[in-house]
Amino acid sequence: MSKCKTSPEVGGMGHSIKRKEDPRFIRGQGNYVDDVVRPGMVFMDIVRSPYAHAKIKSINTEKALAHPGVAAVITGETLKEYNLHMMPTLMSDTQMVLPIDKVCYQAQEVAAVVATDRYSAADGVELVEVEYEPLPVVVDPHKATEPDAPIIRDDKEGQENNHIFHWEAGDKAETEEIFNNADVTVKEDIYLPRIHVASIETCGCISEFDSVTGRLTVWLTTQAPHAIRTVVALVAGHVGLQEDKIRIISPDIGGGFGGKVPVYPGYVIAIAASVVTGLPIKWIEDRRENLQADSFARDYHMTCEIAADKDGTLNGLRIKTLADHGYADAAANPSKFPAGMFSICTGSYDFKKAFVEVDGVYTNKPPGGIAYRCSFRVTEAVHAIERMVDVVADEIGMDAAEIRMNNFIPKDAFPYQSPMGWEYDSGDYHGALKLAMDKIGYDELLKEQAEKREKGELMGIGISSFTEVVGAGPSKDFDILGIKMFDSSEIRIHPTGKVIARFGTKSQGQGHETTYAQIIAEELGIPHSDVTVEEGDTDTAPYGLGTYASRSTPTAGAAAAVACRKIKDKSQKIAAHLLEVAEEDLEWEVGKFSVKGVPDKSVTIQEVAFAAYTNHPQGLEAGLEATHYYDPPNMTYPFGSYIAVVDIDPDTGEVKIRRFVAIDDCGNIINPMIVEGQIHGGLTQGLAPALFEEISYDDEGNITGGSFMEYLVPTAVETPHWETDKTITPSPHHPLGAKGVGESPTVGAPPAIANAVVDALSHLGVRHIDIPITPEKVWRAIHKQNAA
Amino acid sequence: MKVEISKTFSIRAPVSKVWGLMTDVKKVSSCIPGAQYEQDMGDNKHSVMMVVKVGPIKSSYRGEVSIRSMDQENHIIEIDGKGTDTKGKGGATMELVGSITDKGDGTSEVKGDSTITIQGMLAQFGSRMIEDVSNQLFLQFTASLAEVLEGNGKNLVNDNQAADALSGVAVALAAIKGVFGRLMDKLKSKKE
Repeated sequence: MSKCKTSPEVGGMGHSIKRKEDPRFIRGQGNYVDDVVRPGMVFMDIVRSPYAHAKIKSINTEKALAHPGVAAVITGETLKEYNLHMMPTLMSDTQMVLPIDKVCYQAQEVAAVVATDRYSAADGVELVEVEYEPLPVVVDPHKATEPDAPIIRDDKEGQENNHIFHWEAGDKAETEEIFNNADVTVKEDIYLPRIHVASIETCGCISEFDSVTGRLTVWLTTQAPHAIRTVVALVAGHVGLQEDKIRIISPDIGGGFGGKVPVYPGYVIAIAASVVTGLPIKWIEDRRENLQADSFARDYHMTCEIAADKDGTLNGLRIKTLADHGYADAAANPSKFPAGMFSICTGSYDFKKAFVEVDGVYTNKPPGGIAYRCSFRVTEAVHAIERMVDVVADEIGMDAAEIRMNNFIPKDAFPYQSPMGWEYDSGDYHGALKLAMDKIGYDELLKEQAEKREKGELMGIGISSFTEVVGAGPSKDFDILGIKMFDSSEIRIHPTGKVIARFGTKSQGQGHETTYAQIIAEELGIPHSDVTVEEGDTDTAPYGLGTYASRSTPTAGAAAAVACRKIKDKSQKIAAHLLEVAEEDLEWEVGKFSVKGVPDKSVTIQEVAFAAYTNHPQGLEAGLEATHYYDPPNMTYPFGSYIAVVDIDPDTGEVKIRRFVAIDDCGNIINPMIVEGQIHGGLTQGLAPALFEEISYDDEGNITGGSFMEYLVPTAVETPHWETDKTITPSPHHPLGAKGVGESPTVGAPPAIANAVVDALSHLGVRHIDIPITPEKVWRAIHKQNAA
Repeated sequence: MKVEISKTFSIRAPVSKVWGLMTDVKKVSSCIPGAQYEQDMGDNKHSVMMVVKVGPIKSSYRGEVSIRSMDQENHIIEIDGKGTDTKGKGGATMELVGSITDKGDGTSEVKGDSTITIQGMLAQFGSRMIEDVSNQLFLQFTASLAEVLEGNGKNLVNDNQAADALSGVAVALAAIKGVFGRLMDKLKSKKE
């Protein structure tokens, strides 16, 4: 969008309005779950398993109960009395809330202690004595599929192995045909390791049951409050918690990134405990619990193959994946997509045929996996395809930019039908890569690299030209536990022209209070500063599926635009009444209706609002408000091209990112500053798994990356300077032409960095290194090749 | 996590005397810092308590030590140990092969190869320190052993001293020294 329709004071789309939420955040005046204090509140802490797989022989609560501050110790047996010891996952699997007879991963919840203060709760946890009998542990998902592997889910009837699901997409036979007749085929095993969102705020809740009214209020760290309310009603309806008696409040959230979509056992225990005791119960995880027990992301073992012509034309793609889901399939995918949107793996390229299959397996690790700043397995898909395109280029000796340019879906081919069945709405992949190459000085870099190689210096250039699929999603395909993935907006204009707008989504730092206000400013011409945005309270906000998978702008943002248009339609009737002309004689320019040809004769939207309550035309309903539930006709397809330049120290294997240029195209932009902020944050969260982060386990299932000592989250010190720019290709079907942006950089950055490192070492025969690319891995790659 | 520890040391005592002590679980336990012999369970099995403090984590293991095989002629002994934390915070198993050889001049060489598998809290948080802690335990063990064997066994039944948990501060200091020692070695070798 080149020009803004509105003035900076009105602040519609395209204005970099400062975020309305920031004054309270930067002053430490946010209101997070742990800030909430209720009268008579007690505290809960959780006993966790030291074993990855063990029988529970006994739980002795005597000493804990003798502690003066301890009020209760809750075990699986306690919950079983209410049939709450098990719960369903979002993927229709089951998961223990508290165990009865065995534990299946280290840090699993074993019992909960409720005490009068947080310290006594922790002391009580120390005093609970649990006797275990260790069982054989399955850590490696490949070993989990072996016939003699111990069966982890022996609690599930008919479960005779560790296999969860098989899913496939594309055409197997036709893809095989292409491979059989290919000039060139390449194959690579690519592992995307288990990582954690590591949001600054951990998870937790305050559950308060009012035994007089029978109402349950839960302040909860959740990205999807409405869905949680329905889940609680479905799980606990039998103990009297019907949906009208449940209120979920999601206050300020300190980072979600998908990690605050699932229902964790701690929430259920706290809810059960407050219903039984009638007391408000606060439970907040500590950092270790958060990293060790909460849902992880990725953990995809992918075997990737491409069939190509000698000239580098990409024809066929095949990926076989083993998905490690841990103890339960607790992924947060839409129901029909057990492997999420993984079939977007043909990416930005015009493949003829493709076939993917994913097998989910159980292991003795925490259950998952969630879509960490990624629209359901898009990160996995993009990493696979962007790495593999480089592998093909390496095989045939072609430049990484050239092979991409030659295979991109052309601009005029949109809407484009992918061999996997997706209809890409719009794109200009050549334009984005061209801009990235110009900006970074690609040809110069190639020359520099050649010179450096002569001198034995290691420098690499890596490209990632990703395509995302976000904004889930159209109701015909997308639901979670049967609930369609629409989202909603309810807008009320007060008599004085001020606005309250409520949404089914929930900001966790995305700046919804600002961007939604800007959408309303754009549509109605009401200044953004006159709009109050509210989300997260299920008693007041309209129903929606929440914020994740870059869906807020594509769904709730669109809902706001449509609701505004309903308001505008009604406003036009009121304006006609005020100006005493026919409706069709009026024309709209931002913020006012005027009589065609008589520009002086006009009324502002604020005047219309006042009239809606004071002087509305007879026969027309009073008031000025609208609600819309937006069911998107298609997904949106943001894209971009990133180029990373790295220098590697051959002695230590240390990778230094010298430059990183990110060109993003998220369609029309609502707030350029917020988009840029999202890209900076997302790139840093893409850098993290590329070079640093991994939750690792030893052979006994002990977590060896379970604290910030071992789990290396990049700080400002490790983060390079990001150079961002954009192209704009509006979505043809979204009411604002917007696409969603929060996740593109997290998805696009890891392969750019990995490709740059591999490029730096390619002349040594290195073709692939799994992320995180630690100095050790680089050093070993250099030396193994040198020795050979 | 799995830790493999191999140690060799010499002691000024004849093989028969060392063998006699090393095959007596009760006597050997008295030389291990933090260990307390509990009872003979028969069938070459013994119950032992062991307190180890690694960094902030103090673990009490109630364990069972069993002698799997004993080669009297060649002085080779195989010992299995397994223990669980008394508070349910984890557990450990150990397989040890020990041998004693006569070095002439009245000294014996004791060689021990052990594989220790650790589960639980200690494995999570102590992984970087376990090697240093083991070294420290070992040093204290050989010192006690030497005192017992070379000092005519006068401290053989001084359970109190031996049964004290290895002090966290002492281990931490020793571990820090260990790390610095290795750093200094590296620096030295780089200079050379």
